[in-house]
Amino acid sequence: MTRLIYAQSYSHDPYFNLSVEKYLFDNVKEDEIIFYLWQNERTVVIGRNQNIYAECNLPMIEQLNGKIARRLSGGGAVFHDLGNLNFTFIARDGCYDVEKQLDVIVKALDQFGLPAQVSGRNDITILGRKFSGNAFLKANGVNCHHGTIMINVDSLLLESILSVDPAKLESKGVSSVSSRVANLNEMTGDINVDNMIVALKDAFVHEYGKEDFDTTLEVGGKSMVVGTGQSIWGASGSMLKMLQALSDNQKFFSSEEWIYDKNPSFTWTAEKRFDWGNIEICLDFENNKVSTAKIYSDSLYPNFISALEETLIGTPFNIESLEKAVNMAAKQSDEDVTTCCREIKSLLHEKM
Amino acid sequence: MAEYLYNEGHAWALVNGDTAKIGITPYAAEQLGDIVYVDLPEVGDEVTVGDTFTEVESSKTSSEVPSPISGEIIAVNEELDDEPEAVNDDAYAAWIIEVKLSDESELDDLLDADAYDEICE
Repeated sequence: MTRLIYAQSYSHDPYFNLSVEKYLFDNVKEDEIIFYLWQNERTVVIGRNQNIYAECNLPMIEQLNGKIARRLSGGGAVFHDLGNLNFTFIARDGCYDVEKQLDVIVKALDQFGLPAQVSGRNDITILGRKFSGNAFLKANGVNCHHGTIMINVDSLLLESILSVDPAKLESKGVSSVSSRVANLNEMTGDINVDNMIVALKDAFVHEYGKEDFDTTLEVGGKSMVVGTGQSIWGASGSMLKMLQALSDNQKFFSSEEWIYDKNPSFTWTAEKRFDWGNIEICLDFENNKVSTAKIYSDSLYPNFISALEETLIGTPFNIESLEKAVNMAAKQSDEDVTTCCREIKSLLHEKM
Repeated sequence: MAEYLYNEGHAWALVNGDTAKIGITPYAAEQLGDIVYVDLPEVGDEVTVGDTFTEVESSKTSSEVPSPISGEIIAVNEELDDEPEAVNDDAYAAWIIEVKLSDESELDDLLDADAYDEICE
C-alpha cells in the first residue's frame, strides 16, 4: 500500500528549501510518495546546466537583495517570490507517475473553477497561459518532479530579472525558452497561496484514493522539525542526522562552487576603439574562470597587452577580479599605461 | 575480445587493459529522449562504483548515472560539450569518461549483454 507523505517548509530561504528537497530525495522509501510544498523569497532558480550570466540580470538581483540558486534538475530559469508556490513530488520507480502528479495540480485548480491543462511535459496552462513550469530529476531509481505555481508573482519584476542581453556572452549548456506567463489571481480573485495549499493537499490525497496523509513533516518553522515525520527523518537514523544532512545540503546549495563554478563553459567578448588604439578582449571561461585570454590590439603597449593575457588566466567572472588582473598587468609592464588601464576597466564595467 | 559490461543504472564499460571507457546505454538514451547536455566531470577526479559520474539532461528530464567501476578519470569526451546529441545517435561511440581501474575485481559484478537486456525488458 502506498504511503502518502506531506512535507511543508516555513522557511523562505531557497538554499534551505532545496536542501529539504534533496534530503527527501535521498531518503524516500520504496512505497512512499512525498508531496512537498515550499516558497522562496525573491530568487532566480536556474536549471542545473545553465549559465547564470546568460539567464538572469545579476546586478538587478543583487540590488533587490534577491538570491540566486541552481537546482539539481534541468530546464530553464524561473523567478520566485512569495506570490509563487513550489511543489515537489518524490517517489521511487513504481510509485512515480508524472501524469497522476500533474493531475493533482489540475484537480486542485478545478476547485477554483479554473480549467487547467497540461501542455507538453513541462507546462501547465489555463486557456493557453502558462502559470506552472515543471522540471524533473532521476537518480538511482528515485525520481523528482517539481514545479512552480504562479499565484500572484510580481510579473514586471519577473520579466526584467529574467531578461538578459543575449549578445553578452556565448555559452554552452542549456538556454531558457521564454514563455508568456500569467498569475492565477488574474483569472480568479478567489485564489491565494493559503487556499491553494489547502486545495493541493486535498487534491493529492484524493488522487491517491485516500482520506488523509499517512505522515506529515513541517520544517523551517520556529521549531525546526514538527510532525509525525518519524518515518522520514527516521530514514537517516535520527533527527540529529537529518538536521546534519540538511545543514550539509544547505552548504552545498549556497556554495560558490555549485552556483557559479558549475557554469558550463562560455566565451565573453568586448570590443572598443579608444584614442590609443582598438582593443578586442576574448575570454574563454571554464568552471567560471578564464582558461584562455586573447587580446587583439593595435595599441602602442604590446608588453602590457601580453602581460594582461597572462594575468587574466584563472580569474573568475566578476568585475573586481578582472580589474585586479588589469592592475597586475599594468604593474608588470614598463610602459606608462595609466589611461589605457583606466579605459580597459571602464570597458569591462560597461560590457559585463 | 573486449566486450561491453553493464550496471543496472544503464551505464556501459568497455575495458582495455587497465583502463575502461564508460558511457550510457542506447536503452537509456532512448528513454531520455533528446539529450541537450552531458555534464562532464574533470580529468583527475576519482569516481566510485555506484556513485554518479555524469548527469545527462534531456528535453524530458535530468538523469544522474552511477559509475560501473571505480578509478581515476584520465579522459573525458569533450566533443559532447558541443554535440550532446551524439549520445542519441550512437550511445556506444559516444563514450563519456575514461577511467584507470582501481579495482579490477569490480568487473566481476557487472552484467554481460544478455543479463543487461533482461533488466531492460
